[in-house]
Amino acid sequence: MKYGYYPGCTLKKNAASFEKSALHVMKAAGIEFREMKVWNCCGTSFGLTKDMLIHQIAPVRNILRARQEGFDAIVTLCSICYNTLKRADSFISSDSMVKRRITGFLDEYGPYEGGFPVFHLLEVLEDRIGLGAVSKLAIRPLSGLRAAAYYGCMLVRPAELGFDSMERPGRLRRFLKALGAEPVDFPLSTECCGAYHAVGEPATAAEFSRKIIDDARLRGAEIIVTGCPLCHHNLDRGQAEIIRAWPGFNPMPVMYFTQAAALAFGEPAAGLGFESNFAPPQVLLDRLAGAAAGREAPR
Amino acid sequence: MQFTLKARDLDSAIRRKVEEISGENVYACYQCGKCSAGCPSAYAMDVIPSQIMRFLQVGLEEDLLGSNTPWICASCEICSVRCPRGIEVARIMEALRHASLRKRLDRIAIQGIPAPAIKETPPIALVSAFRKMTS
Repeated sequence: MKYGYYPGCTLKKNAASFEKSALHVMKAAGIEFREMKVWNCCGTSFGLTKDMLIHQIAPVRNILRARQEGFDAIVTLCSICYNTLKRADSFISSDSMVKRRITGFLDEYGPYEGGFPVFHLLEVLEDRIGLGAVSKLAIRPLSGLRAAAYYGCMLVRPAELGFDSMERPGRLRRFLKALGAEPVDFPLSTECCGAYHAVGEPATAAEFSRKIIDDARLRGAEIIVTGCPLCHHNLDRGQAEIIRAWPGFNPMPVMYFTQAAALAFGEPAAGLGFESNFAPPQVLLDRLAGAAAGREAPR
Repeated sequence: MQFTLKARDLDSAIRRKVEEISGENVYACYQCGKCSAGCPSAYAMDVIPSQIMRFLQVGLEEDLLGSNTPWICASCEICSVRCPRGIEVARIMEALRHASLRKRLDRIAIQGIPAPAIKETPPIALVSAFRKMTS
């Protein structure tokens, strides 16, 4: 299957470390992909109004472009792009009037019936590549790392379009296990990080994130792993705001699942962009360095 | 609190507008409170989501449009997926935002955001915030 990689805005800016590590992981896993030649904003959040079809144009245009470029499916890294593209497609598929109006507006791409496949990279890694193969690639397993699998909202909601159970998803937990880590279950794994409140209501966003981080810590996590650049921003950079409200707050490292995988696949940490973290994942890096020293010691 | 409920309140303009924008039926709500129980923003709202549903049913327009609730909602959609009556409460919140935004009553002023904050904030947050809070 030929995947069109749809990056979305934030992967080219604040979440460059997500993209870089993901490209490494996709190549290592043998996924046949190429970045789409032309793409535009996904729409940034699915339009929840029923009477404003213009909100669906941006996501549907991306899907039609992927089809035009000859891809079999789209793969995304950002959970919000995933949600917006997949949902817009489902919306036009479910209503013939909506479909006619939107595809009519986008007439340059020809007729479209809906149903173009959109995947999140975690789905491709688990369902197409297989976690057994992922385990084999993990030549430097993340042994003993107590990692909280954090999904946020847009990978699991709404239920009929989410990539897993909306109340108790397991994809990220299983992926972390395949990398050799010890995934930590925590009740707030699908709670909102504060989302766009980072802009207008930073104190509110920080309170959302604080609850999530504290909950993960309470369950024994030493790191939080996510697949969303907005969750990463709120949970990691947002800790500066949390500390303003809660001076005793201890920082908690947050990383992308692709960074965790790239490390396990043997990539040096230096190229994975951890220097832009508010809370660097030192606990993991030290442990991997310790394990490497242990392996080298007998020589 | 005491108030008189008149038949005409049940067919309020705000209820009709919200139903038209959202595509949801506010009378489907039977006040179980599950939306409010799961809402991560409820602690900061002056009217919690299940109350919003009730206010819509009885047409309390001023209380609805004057509340901070739709602006504190983060569109996480926990309420929508847990509603036993199948109401997408997040769409109701979007409709209430739009009821103000379509009158050009913006919640945030883009010019008021300091330049360093714009640089530091991911585009996904900025564009989403503008989509939700500005007309």
